[in-house]
Amino acid sequence: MVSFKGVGSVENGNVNGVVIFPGGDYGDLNVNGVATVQGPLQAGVLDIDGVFHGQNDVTCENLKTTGVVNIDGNLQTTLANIQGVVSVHGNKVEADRIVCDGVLNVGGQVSADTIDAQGFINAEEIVGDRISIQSHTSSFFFKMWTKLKEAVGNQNHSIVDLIEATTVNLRGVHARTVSGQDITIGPGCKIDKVDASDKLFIDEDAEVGIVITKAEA
Amino acid sequence: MENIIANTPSEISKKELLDRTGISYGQLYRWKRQGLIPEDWFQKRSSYTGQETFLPRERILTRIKSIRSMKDDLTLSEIRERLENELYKEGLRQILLNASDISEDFVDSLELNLDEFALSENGVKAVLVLYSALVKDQIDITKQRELISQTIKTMSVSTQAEKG
Repeated sequence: MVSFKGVGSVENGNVNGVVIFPGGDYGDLNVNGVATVQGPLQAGVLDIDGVFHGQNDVTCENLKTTGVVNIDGNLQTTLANIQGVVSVHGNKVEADRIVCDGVLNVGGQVSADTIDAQGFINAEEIVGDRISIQSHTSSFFFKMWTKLKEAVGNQNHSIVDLIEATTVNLRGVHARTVSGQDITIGPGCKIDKVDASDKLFIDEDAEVGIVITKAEA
Repeated sequence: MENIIANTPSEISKKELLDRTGISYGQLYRWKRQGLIPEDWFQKRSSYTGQETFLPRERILTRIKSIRSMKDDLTLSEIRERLENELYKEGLRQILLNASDISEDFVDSLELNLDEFALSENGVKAVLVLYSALVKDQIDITKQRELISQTIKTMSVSTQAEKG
């Protein structure tokens, strides 16, 4: 039995209305209303179509959202499928795989084996194995959801300080440093320094400052 | 050539680590996420072109060698368990070394035995109290070593029996 306060209801893991939870392990949670979780949260599938505010760390198997998610601590998940707006104010987001068609804002580091983003990721660092960020507002989700347009405003690119991965494929990304083995810098990118240990492609519509390749290093 | 603030001989830059070991960014960060490489080994420092990350040279090279030697036969969680045991032993050694009146030579003379031991935190404290008493009573160093080793072994067996 889930203990909660508020004017909503929780039945079989479905959260409706406005609900405040303490932390804990809640199994699968489906948030259709407005949920605030005050302590660390562990969940299986965390499916958020409404508004979610985690005031501590959130750990789950699968984060799916078309809604608005704010996490004051860190986020750890096996899979994240983001079609809404997720903001993580802790130091890190850790995942095996992140698919982001919406917006992901992280105060610190995003670490994942695979990142496949058609939306926007703003973070201090993004690190992992295969990172593809193709930021643009012409995708289905940005056409459909006003809140996504509002979330990015006039921004038409992701902003990241450092990207490090084995394979990096970017479009519409502004970054200070991009390092990796196999790097593609696509149109709309503005990168201060690129350091590629094997392959490097830079589109003619990208702006790149310093380029370091294996032969030069 | 990139200008960076030189690392000390005891450190290795992340870039040099990848070059030297041949591991990829993906492997390094996966192992870090899975707790096989401690987060606090990654130390960022300013460089002329931004920031560079340095790691403790010997520890990270040894750690990567250990992970590689185990990864074909063990799952990552099994590897983590083995590495936690190594960390425990290292921690125990550090606790003994940090005791103000215990010498490194003395701890190193116990080190071979430490491999077999699994002491609780209270067990380690008890060993240190015993050591202080032996020193205070001016017990011969050979006898000290023998008594400490026996005590650690006895307490370790007791700890393992409690866990079992």
